[in-house]
Amino acid sequence: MAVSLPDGTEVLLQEGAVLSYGADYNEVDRLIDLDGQAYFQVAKNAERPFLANTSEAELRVTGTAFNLRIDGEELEVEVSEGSIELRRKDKVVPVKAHQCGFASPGKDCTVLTVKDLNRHAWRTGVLRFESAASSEVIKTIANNYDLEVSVADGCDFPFSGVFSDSDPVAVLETVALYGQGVLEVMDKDAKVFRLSLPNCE
Amino acid sequence: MVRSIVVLLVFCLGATTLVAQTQPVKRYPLPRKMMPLEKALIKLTEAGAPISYRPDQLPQVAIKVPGGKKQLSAWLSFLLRDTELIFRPGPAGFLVLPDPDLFEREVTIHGLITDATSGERLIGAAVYNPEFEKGVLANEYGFYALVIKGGRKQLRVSYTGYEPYESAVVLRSDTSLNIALKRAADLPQIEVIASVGEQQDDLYLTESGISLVQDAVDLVNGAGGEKDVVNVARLLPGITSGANGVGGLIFRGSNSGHNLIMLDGVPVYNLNHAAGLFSIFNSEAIRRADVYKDGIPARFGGRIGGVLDVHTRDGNLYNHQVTTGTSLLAANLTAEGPISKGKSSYLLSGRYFWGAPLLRAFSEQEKIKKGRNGTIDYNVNDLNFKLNQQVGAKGRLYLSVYHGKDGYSNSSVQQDAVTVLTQSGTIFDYNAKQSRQEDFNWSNTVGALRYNHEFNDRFFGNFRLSYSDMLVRANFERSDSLYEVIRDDLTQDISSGRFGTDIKQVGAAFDGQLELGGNASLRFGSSLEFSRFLPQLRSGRVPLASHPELVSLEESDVLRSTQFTSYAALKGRVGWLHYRLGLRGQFWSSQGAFFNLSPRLLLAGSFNESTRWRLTYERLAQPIHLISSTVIRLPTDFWVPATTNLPPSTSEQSAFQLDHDLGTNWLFTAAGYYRNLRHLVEYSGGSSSADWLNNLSSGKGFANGIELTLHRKEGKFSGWLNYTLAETRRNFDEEVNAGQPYAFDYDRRHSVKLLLTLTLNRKTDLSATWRYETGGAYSFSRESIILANPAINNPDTQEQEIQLVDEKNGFRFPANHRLDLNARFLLTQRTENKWQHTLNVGVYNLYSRHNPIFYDIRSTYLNVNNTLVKNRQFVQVFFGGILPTLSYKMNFTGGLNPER
Repeated sequence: MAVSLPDGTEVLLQEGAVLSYGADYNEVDRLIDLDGQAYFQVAKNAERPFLANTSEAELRVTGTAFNLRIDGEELEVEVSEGSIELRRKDKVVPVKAHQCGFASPGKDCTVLTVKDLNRHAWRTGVLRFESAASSEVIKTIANNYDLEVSVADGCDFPFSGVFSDSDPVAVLETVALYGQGVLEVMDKDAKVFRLSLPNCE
Repeated sequence: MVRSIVVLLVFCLGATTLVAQTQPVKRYPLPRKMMPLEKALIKLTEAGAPISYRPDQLPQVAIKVPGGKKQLSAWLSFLLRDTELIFRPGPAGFLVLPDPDLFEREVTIHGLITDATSGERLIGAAVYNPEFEKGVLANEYGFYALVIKGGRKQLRVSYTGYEPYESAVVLRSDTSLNIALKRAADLPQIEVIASVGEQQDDLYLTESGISLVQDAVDLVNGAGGEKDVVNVARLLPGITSGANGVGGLIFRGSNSGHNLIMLDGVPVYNLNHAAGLFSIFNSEAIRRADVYKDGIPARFGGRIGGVLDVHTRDGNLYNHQVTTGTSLLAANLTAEGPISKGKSSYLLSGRYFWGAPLLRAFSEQEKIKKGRNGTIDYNVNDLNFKLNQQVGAKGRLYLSVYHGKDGYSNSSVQQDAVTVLTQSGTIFDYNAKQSRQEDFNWSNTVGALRYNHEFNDRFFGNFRLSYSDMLVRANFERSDSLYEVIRDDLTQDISSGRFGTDIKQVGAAFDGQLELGGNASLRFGSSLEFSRFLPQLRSGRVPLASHPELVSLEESDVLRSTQFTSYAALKGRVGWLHYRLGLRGQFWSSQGAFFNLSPRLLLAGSFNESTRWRLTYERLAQPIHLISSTVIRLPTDFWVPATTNLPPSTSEQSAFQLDHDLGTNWLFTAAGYYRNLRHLVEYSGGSSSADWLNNLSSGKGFANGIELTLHRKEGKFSGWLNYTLAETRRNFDEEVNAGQPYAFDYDRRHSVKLLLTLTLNRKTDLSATWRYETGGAYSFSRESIILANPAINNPDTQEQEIQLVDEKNGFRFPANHRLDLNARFLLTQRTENKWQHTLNVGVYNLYSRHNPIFYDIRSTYLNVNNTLVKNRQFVQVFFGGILPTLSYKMNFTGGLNPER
């Protein structure tokens, strides 16, 4: 669901995400509140910073494009264009394009370089993995598509692949095949899965 | 209304076709570059191709990617074709996965093993996969087929005298792989036996033959410096020569006529030149010879002794080569080269004995020294020709022809004059004259036309047309006379004879080899032969001129025979037990029809890594008999087909062999055998007979023995020491030795053989051989001499017959032994030179032992106390004392890279 904010910022919300902002949006600053995942193309305005926060960390943006996911107290932002800043207490962590910043309660903000913008996959439909650990792959997919995947046993194996316009369940099944494991659907809405992988030798 | 519906329909159809057209298959580009497989896949994904894979399942291989745009499936087929991976559509894009069936699927890898420089097929090369401990040996045509599970497999190909080849291949399906091996710098082993400590010992467990390759034969000295594969074969345990390293091959107590001698798959009836000084096999033309004493494979049959299977060289497929040289016995010229490079070649090799005038002059001198007049003349030449041509992708045609001729003559006349004055004052003036005269002419021709075909990956076949003939003509005359001049009184004892053998044989055969799954392979075949024999013997106490001339094969009634044989042999293993089971059936028809079944059994295994065992049993049958004539003392080949009265000879042999590796370089072998011989045929008649066929009697015999050998196999210094304890006896009916068992001619109780080779450096090799054998058994002639005793005046009682005590083979020659040395020098500066010179210098019979070949009776007349006395002397005839050996060889190779 695409929304335009009063300042011109384009937001694409993932199904189930909730975005709210005050009536004073774009007066001094642009503060938004997000629960879920959305893609922001923030209109450039150096004077009125775009803000999103959790109780501890604050995301400060001046003009850029990024994928933001807030799940309770976990904040994850993957930047596709421009750069943003993550602030926690006194520490400022810049997150540039093709980087992903993480904020968790009780920990410093961290930044990870990501070549592939997999966290944008729910929007772009493109998933790219290059020698990614299978556990990471599964976590990315689960986070991206708001699925719950529990992994029983098994060990990590390196995985590479490109998926365009793919059903996330199909991608999970593919991962299962490579690990010689089995993917089971646990609920009737196909939102909860269990992946059983054989143990490492 | 109708119109609008039509329009609607058209629109819908149009829409759907539009939809269909808007989905063309996407093509992806890749650059034209050599790149790792993973990189190629990454590039495809960057272009948007929906593929997934596990990087840890990709092999680290570089692929030469042709540039261009292809559909994804086409790219994946190309990139994955030499890997263990397959691709298929998955839930989300293409999956690149390991082929699940690959590791269980059985594939065949097959092809030819050749010499990289000359293209020569390497017979018996080993192709081995270390992981599964599975392998095969290439057959007589260099062809191998290995059935193995799919996937990435390590292959090791090795052959004595060559660098081993190691490589990994990914086997997806039946694969054709031809491998060319490069020569190694170091000396090959003399016998091709499994290397110590290498896993592929297993491959050789069922190989019951001993292989002698040309390079190795080149190291060992022979008579006059003539290199000879048969000479090296006689150094093997259990194999001996006739008399003193001269004449024939005796395997474990069999007669020389009991052995199957083959040249390119065709049986040869005559093995010797120069009465055995050297064999008919020109070492320049020979690639390899396989010797079988036991565990005789089912494809060999028709003889009850051992097998010598000689393979000729094909001729260099890439470069022209000319070799010329000489030994003290023969000059040699060999030319070979490609007719169409890589596809066909020829080989022509001939030998000629140039020393005839020297021999004549030398023998005249020697005879004069001994008080005789006469000369020895000898001429020998032979020719080998081979042609080989590739036919299509799967076939090859070979033509091989051999022709050899020997001519020998020996004459000697001894005259003694004795004057006797008796007490009564009578003078007797005696002239005693002894003359010996003999001449032999041998010739034989062998031809084979063979066609090989690879029917499919697992089935190889060979068709063969063969021709073999032999022609022998011999004449002899021996006379002792005593002439009293004054009274004109002549007493003469004369015996003479003519002897001839004509044999002509043509045949056709097929041999097939089939690799079965698991660990088994099958060899089978069939053959048909037509032969004609004409043995002739005329002898008597008359001058030679009174015997009519011998007739030729066309002019007379010959003995004809037809033989049809079929065989099958299954080789495989069951767990730790390796086996080879064979059965051969022979149908023979000449005067009488005979059918023989010849089962063959071989079991082998390893007790542990350093000890191997083998048990063999075989029953063999021979439908033609070789008679040794006691009338003429020189080796003669008198072949007679079986008749109802003289059925085919048979033998049964049970043998075992144990090999134990001592450290990395030493091997100890112990072997034992027992042979039972039946329906043997001997000439039992007296010294004169018109119908000698009726003077053949049949009998039986046995042979047993233990052979112990210590080998040092590799390194600068190698060779073997062998001790054999053996016994062999014969027992014929009353006509021969009064029905009593007697020792066989070549019953050698003890024999010791030592061979040592030492590589001093890249250009010099030394070798020494020492042979010791208990003397053979010998019969004195049953001849009796009628002599007039001059002391008796009464003409009626004057004549006395002096009989000789005879027990067949009751006399033993003294042990014969001799030491030969040889040094071989490669005179060329560098191995890449086009011209190569080799010089061999050596000594034959270093300590000059006079090993007798046979005994002759010579009489001299003396005046002792005024009486005429005839002094009988047993003169031992031996080959020679210490003799130098010398040979020189020059080789020219055209073209590039003449690797040696």
